[in-house]
Amino acid sequence: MTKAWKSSAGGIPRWLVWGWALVVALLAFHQWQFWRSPKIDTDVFALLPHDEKSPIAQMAMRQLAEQGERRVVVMLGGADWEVLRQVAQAMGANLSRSEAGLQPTLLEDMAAQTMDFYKPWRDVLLTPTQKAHLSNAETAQLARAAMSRLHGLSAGQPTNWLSDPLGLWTAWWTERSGITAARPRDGILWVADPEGQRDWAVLLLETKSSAFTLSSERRLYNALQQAKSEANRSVGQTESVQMLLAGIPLFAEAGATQGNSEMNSIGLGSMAGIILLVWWTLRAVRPIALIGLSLGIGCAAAVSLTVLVFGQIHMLTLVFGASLVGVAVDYGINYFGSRLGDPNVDRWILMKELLIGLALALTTSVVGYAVMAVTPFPGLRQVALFSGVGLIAAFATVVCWFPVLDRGEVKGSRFADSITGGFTRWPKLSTRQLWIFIGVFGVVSGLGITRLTTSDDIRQLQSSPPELIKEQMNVGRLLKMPSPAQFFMVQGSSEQEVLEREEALKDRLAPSLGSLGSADAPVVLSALSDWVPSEKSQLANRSLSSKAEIEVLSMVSKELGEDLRRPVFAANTMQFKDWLNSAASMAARSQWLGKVDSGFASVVLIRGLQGRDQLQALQSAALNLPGVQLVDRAQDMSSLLARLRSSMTWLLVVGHALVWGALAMRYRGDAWRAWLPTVLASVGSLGVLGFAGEPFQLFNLLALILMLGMGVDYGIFLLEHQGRSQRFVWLGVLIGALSTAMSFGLLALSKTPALHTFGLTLLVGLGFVCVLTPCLRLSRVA
Amino acid sequence: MNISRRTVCAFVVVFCVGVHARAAHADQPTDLLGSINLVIERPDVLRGNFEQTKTLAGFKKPLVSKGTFVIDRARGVQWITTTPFASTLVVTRERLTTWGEGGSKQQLDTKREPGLRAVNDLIMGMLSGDLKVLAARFDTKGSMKSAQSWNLSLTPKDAGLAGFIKVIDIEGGRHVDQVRMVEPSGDVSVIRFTNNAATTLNPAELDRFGQ
Repeated sequence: MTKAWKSSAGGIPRWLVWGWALVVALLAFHQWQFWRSPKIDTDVFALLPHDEKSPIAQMAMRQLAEQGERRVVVMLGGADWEVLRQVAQAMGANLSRSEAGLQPTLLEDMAAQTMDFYKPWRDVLLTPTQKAHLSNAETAQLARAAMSRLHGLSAGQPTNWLSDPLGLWTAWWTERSGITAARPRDGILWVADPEGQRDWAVLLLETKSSAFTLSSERRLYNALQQAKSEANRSVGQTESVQMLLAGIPLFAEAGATQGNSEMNSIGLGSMAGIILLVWWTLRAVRPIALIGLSLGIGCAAAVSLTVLVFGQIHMLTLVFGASLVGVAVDYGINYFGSRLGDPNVDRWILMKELLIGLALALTTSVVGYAVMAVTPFPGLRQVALFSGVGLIAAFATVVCWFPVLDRGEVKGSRFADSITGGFTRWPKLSTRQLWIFIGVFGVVSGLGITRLTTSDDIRQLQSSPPELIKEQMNVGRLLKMPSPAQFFMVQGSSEQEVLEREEALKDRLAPSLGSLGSADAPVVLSALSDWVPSEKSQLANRSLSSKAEIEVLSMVSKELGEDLRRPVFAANTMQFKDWLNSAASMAARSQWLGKVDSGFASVVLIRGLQGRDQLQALQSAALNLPGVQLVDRAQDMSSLLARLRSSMTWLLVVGHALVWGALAMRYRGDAWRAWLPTVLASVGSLGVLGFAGEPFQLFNLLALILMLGMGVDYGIFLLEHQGRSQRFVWLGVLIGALSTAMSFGLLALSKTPALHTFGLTLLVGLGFVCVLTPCLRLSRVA
Repeated sequence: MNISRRTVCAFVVVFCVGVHARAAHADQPTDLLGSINLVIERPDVLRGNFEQTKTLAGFKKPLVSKGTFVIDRARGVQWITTTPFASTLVVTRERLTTWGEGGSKQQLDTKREPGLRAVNDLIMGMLSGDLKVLAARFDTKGSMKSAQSWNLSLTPKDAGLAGFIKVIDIEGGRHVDQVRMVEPSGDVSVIRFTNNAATTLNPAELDRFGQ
């Protein structure tokens, strides 16, 4: 058997065949394991760049987001509160019965615990207004207020009168409650719409798990809609109840289903197109099966290695990775194209002839993808690894297995004949024509390029459904949620120093906050030191409150003929660590960043921000405060994108120079024939994008870098092969280019703006390369 | 300040901080509430006198205050203390206003502190015997003492409210006659209502309601 095999394989080394078989077997095993319970990552932050310049700010944003990772907020709005309450409660009951994996949050009533924790330290907790009032007011005035409280209508209070004769504690709690606009009402949470006569019922839900599987269905979203209409029905509600949904799980789910459908349309669409193209060209099942095999192994290897390296695979990688099909097909197609040109030559000998060109093509493509890995986007790093590995594995399958598995003849078709026959008639530019063409092409493209507007908007990174974004923003506004991406970061060498610096910040900003906000739309800071003041201010508060209360009690005693004694409070101050470990810190815990490289850090949140000018006013007000920094992640990321855009521009220029150098080493004076089409195509695709009104951004550049890696391949193939075989190489190039363009064309349909840009740039660019390369071909008589 | 505006706020507010209430269960004895509803009168405007007696920890003597009140079902409550201090408290759906000695005025908007509206509802419910409002927040038990008189004991349903109010006992007939509130600290207030009668608002009262 070995002998027959050897002869049919034309001398391909056996270790190569079996070695690759071993790798494929391992891959198959891993794939079998993986797909039993695929770990798909739908992290909505994966596409956000890592900002090396401010790791703590990045960590802060992440930590704030993780707090709500599994929370879904449902708001029901309408004119009749009673109806809303009933619908909300029925909806909660429906959901907890259903299989959707959404549970109403049955948070324990922390209020009593929280209150108990604070009780011994009531005397060290004062609001800024109280501090000013106690320092300035006269004892007689305070005593009058105390007497008035003593005789007023009672509606319940947390401590007895004697422990808090001035009613200080309740105001402190009122201020703390500013962390949300939601208030309990009739057993559920309620928010009054600030702009009208309507009410909102708030339902807090939690997803059972944060993991998502590949699914074509928005399970949570649909379950919520269904629960709402069922609740409407059970309440007998005909009046329309408006529903707003918010929460990271909904975004992750939308991303997963969108990714799933895009992955399918890109992957299956490319596959179907490739099968058709190969069938038209070769009219045989064997090439289709073999090319399919190389693509399958390529994709499997890509998935496996990505999972091995990153632990799981991101949805985005799968979407982008689906376009790999169109690129990886090149090697197999080239092989069959060449076989068609030389049907009788031994297959391993043919393969050895093709090897240098294919390997060069592989290298340039892999390098093109690798550039993505040097960007600080965790998502793109995965894409780069995925694509690189996929290409290498597809290439290895072609090289190691095709000569053995491809037995029998390759016939070709009239379609193939017309391509190869047509190649000789393809226009070939003379030097003069070329210069004219470059001139015209350059001017037209230049016109388009002048219309390009650059964009470093981070919104291009996300693809969430617009209605979901709108609802999220509405919920944030109604509940008075803090800005997730704009906040102050406070650092200090010790926990106490952090708290002191927070207090300094609050003091400094108090006047600006007052003038920025209005009574209806206040701008408010939320800090840890609101909940647990620094040692220093605890002591200061204690001396203020004890002095005032002792004096007031003695005055009231005199007036009423009583002997009133102030009760004893805790002897020590409230310790930060005790607070952090208690239930009392629940609401603010995510603002503590803990130990960071230079000490400790915390986040001071800003609520009610309405514009960038407000942010700038705060920034200038907080200027020169030690350890305080205003973080604007949206701005940070946009400027990071801008920085990357300029460095990638340089990388593109350097890349072109290097590629030209490498080509020149092998092809000397003809190197430009492989290189120039890509240059022109890059310029041309930018021109087209300009005319199409698309913005110019980082992802155009990444696409152009990848195009450099792929585009020169076509030129290389045509330079490698001269004479009669050139037209058959052209067949491979053309079919390969069509497949690639088709895959990227499908990627251009992605709803993620970054992927859309990427796909579109490559679609247009590769189209130009494909048309231009044969025009610049070298035709030597072999 | 009369009913301290701060007390009122905190009362609503505290349990938000800890997060949050459970779904209310409809477990009130509807027959009792139904019977009371049959007995109690619901005039559009009700006025009368009150006498409040507070028994507080650390005090030898009880603290007594007296005055008049007006409840307008559509507008709100006015609580006018005459002894030992003159002060007026006006509770509406939109705001809570207090006039102290010498006309000093303090105002709190439900828009800025939305939870206040729930408190105002509660005060209205407590003083006018609006059982529907009370049953949403409290577990109710009680009995009909005779065909024309009843008593009702309210215990807060959620722990947040229980941090402010231990129990409220209400006695009444055609009107609410007495409200007794026990706070968790042990402080007790008893309010007795007399001369309850249906009436209309006078111009000064209309003015205070802001209409």
